[in-house]
Amino acid sequence: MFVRKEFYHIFRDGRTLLILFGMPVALVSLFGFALTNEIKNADVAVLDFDKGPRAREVQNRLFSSGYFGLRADLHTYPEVAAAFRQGRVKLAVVFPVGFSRDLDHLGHAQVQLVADASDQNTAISLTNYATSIIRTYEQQTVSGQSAGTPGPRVEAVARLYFNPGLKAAYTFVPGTMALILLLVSAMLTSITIAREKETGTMEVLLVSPMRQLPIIVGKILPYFLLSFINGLLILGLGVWALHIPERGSLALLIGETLLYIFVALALGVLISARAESQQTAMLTSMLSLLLPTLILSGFLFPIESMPAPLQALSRVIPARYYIVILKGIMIKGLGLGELWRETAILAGMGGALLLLALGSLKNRLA
Amino acid sequence: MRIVWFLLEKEFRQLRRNRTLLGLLLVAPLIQLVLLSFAANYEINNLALAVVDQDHSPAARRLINKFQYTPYFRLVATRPTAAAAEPDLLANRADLVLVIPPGFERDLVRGGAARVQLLVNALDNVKAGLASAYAAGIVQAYQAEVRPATVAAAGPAHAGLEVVPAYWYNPLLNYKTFMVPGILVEIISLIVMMVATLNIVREKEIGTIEQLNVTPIRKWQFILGKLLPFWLAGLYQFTLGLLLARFLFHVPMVGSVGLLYGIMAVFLVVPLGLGLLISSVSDTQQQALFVAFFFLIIFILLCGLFTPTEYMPAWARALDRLNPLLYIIDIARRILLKGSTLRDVLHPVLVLLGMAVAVNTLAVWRYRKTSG
Repeated sequence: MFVRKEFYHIFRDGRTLLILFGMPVALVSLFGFALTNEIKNADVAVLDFDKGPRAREVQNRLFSSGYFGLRADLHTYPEVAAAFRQGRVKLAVVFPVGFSRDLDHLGHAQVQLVADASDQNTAISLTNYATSIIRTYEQQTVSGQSAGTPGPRVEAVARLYFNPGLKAAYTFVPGTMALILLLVSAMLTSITIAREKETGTMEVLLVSPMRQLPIIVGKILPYFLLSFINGLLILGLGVWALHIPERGSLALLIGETLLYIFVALALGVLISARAESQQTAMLTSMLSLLLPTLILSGFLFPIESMPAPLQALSRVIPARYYIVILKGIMIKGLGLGELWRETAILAGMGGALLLLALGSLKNRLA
Repeated sequence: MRIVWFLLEKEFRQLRRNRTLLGLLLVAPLIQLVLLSFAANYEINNLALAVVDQDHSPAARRLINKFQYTPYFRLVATRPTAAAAEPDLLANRADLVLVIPPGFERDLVRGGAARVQLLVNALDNVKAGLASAYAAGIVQAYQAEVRPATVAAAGPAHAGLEVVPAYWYNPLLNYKTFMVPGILVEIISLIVMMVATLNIVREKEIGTIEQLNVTPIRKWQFILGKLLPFWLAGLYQFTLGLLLARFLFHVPMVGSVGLLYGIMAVFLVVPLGLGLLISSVSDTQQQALFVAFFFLIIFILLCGLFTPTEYMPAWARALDRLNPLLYIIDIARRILLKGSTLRDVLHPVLVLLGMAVAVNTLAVWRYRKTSG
């Protein structure tokens, strides 16, 4: 009967309903299509002190690759600085005097890539792409012509597993799914109990002869359903609109998603049980979940590169495990046999959070 | 103005009683700034490397050592065949597998070309790109080392085309320099906007707004009284955040901090105004929460801190033009790291000013004194 009451409560609020279903869909779509770390047509300037044929060849290679676009032909380093400051270009390719001549006659020369490293991600990506294009040029033209014995060459042939197209969506879509599912579920439940506490109806419920667990379960159930539908919507979106493969067991995928939602809801209940007011509950859930999950879950930043204490902190972020599970099932086609550890951790988290929540509730109102 | 003063007093008194809120406003932002700035970087080290050495020659050993003794890779497994190493990729035990085929040293010594294979776990495309780039670099360095020993005639030491990168404004590619100003601004915007909107809606819900509506307090006084404390809180957070940035993270501050401060003071009006606008169209705190969250998460993910915005599709970039975080982070970075002057950042500043005016005008207009 609590379930029905809660349902009424939710459905009366039409606008929230629209947001509840529309928002996750809108967000996943937006991020799935918009977020990318692949480079196209980047703003590049050229500082050509040489103006010889080799310099022109390298430039042709760079600008016909699709990765770079020539925005400015500059003449001095201060001009480069000004262009960086104004944000007009992010990379300047510099050919020193005598570049072509040295390359032809001496067999070696230098080209400088000046990158605006205040935007670090882009600087590194641009430099890497440019370097690999230039290296390919070198292998195809220069090495074949260099005087003297070519000497031994070691060639590394790379084979890409799971994501041969190096698609950014394979990273962003699972990560966004985990983030949105966690936040919406936790925020939803974080309000319910706090609201009842505020309006005083919680006390009324708890002095009744019923035990606490069914009450809480009753309150959560509708949200569970809601989040589950959300989860299905997001999964469907990911597979059909954003073309994430689904190579593993669908049943396992749904099961794991339910588990994850349970953890998120338990988290929301815990926050709700400990908060003094709705406002506090909402703020706590949003602020303590949004940025930490975004940054520490492995969604965007590699966990192995974080300092040790933060790697430890990352272990308590549920999204971290769910992302591994999602990618494992969908992209690698793994089964429970390989993913049992992450599953067990999530289950443990859910249980622990729920116990903590029950404990808090008991104390608060004792 | 005295009225505004009274309203402020009321707000501050309420705040002081609400410990959690105070903690969230005064302490949490700084803790988050410190934690997240240390975590947020795309540097790759400690990538898990598995090795399949089918040659077992000294040359192969040398190559493997080269990989092992860089901070980028750590050796986690040796397998007899590539097929045996594939489960490592599947289980995420290895990010990269180096396969040295039999006859590697023989091919090298005979002066021909030797080949190695790299099996890359491309699940994360950025990691994969960087891992392959590092691996290719290590192999190239190995090639350069091997040449003098086996080539009889002294050929040119650095044959071919050498690419020399130069990273301006952040030569050590310290990620903190890049991330700290951005994270700081995000945290502040998040908190300021959320608290402002929830605060006003709360009064709406409880009904105390009605009480104020029947007093002679004018609309603008009420709004000012509501927003000013959070504007001050935002500036306080920014001040402390800047101090942390300077002394804990050693973010260079090449340009005028005063200029940045002034721009920040103007910028804060935008999330506050948005909070006000949201509160004016929401009836319950729950609605306000979700609407604010919707905007905030879009702003945060599309602000250029985590992914480059230049490579988003055109429609996303157009949408992003409405993202205030995009502009302020760009401004902060330009001033702090490149020493940009007001003239250099004039365009984004004007955009922010426009946003501030537009959002607040809309909010005030919507905010009817007769509640509803």
